[in-house]
Amino acid sequence: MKRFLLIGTLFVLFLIEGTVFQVFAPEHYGFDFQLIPRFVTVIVVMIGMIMSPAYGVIYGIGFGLLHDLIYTDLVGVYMFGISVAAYIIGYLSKVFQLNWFTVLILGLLGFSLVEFYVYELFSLINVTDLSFHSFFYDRYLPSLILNGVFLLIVYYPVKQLLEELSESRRQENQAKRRNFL
Amino acid sequence: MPQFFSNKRLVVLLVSIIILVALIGTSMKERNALTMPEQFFKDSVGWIQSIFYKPANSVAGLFESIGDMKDMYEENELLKSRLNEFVALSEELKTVKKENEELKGELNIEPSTGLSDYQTFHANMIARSPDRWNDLLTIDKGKQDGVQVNMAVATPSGLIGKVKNVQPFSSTVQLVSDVDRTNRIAAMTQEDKNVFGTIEGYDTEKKVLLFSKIPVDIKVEKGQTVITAGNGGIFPRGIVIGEIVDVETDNVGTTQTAHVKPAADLYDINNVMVIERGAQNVVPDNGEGEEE
Repeated sequence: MKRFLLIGTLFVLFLIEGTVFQVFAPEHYGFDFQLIPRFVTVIVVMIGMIMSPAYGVIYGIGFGLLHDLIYTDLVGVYMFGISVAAYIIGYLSKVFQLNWFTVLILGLLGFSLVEFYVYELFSLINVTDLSFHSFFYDRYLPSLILNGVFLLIVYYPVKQLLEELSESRRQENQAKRRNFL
Repeated sequence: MPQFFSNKRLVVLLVSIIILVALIGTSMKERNALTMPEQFFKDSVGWIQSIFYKPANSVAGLFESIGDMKDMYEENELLKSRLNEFVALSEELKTVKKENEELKGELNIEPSTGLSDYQTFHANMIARSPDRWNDLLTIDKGKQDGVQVNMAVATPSGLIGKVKNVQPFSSTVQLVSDVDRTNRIAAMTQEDKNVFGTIEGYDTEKKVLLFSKIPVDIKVEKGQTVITAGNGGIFPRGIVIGEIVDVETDNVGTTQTAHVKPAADLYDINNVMVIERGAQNVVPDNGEGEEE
């Protein structure tokens, strides 16, 4: 049941990125910088940290593919990017004691991985011609702040949900093992 | 810490990179239509997106209209004074039109040459790509409503893009600001004589369109209006694209490029018109495309 809650939340966030957030996007009001919502990425990276890297990869593939199909023309870009970021950050997180600060830093590291990877890839295949300078200052830094604030807001509820999920998974595995023996 | 990369995982990573490259390669090819699963996903998600987008948009609209309220009075006065001018102009237009038709009749020219005939569908925007790399919109009219690939899309103030993909109940619009080598529009200016060229791209940092391939001996100036030329295929003639803000000569020195500021605000889009050119029809049927 809890799993569907997680999937549902991610799906709603995915929709909000493209619809509600676009209504209130800063360009709408004449600002020069861009705020790129990467809410799904941030939460998938948290899944990689708190549950396990493997789960991060699975959710990354699912929601990355959805992002590719709905919002871009190229299939595979985000599918690969989000799942690899969740995997790397998931393994990296085992070195740290997880609290709100380390989760924030690692989550933003995951966001940065995805953002730089997509920028480099799209420059390579000529989807964009944005210079690195304006990518970094007008796009990356404001988005970093946006997603950082988002992560702090959802940190406690999401952490609780993910911990319950991994707890129930552990119990299931134990039960299975007992039956097997 | 467990071993970061076991051999098995390294193989999985390499295989997935190969798959990634293959997927990008296949989806970058020029495709006439999307595959069935893609269409299905886009349509069903598009329906849910419209549920989200409309309330948010109306809330934003409410705030904007409160903001507009204070300018309303002045604007109203100005518009009233303009109204008289408009009446005079429309009378003049009527006589000129009539005269034009009479003269064409005398010269035995077909009543419509077709380049500038078009019908419009109205559609609502329901989503936009959140990453600004791909400037794509989703609108709520699709194949069932008569939208076809490559039709021009405009707001009341000017051209914003063209239809890229069509699904049965929604379609994807590629904005003029999307950096893509296939995103080209035949354009012209119409001051003293017609100057033709192509819109060949977008400068993301200056936020201007590049109107290039203008012969170097023709003088184009700041402030001229650029419209679609209609000889590039599917676009009709006469949709406003924007205004020239700057002109520069190319490296080789045989052509010049003008920087065109788009007339439509590419970020403030709610209702759009999908424009179907009527040139191929023998009898232009104006009644059909009028949908609200």
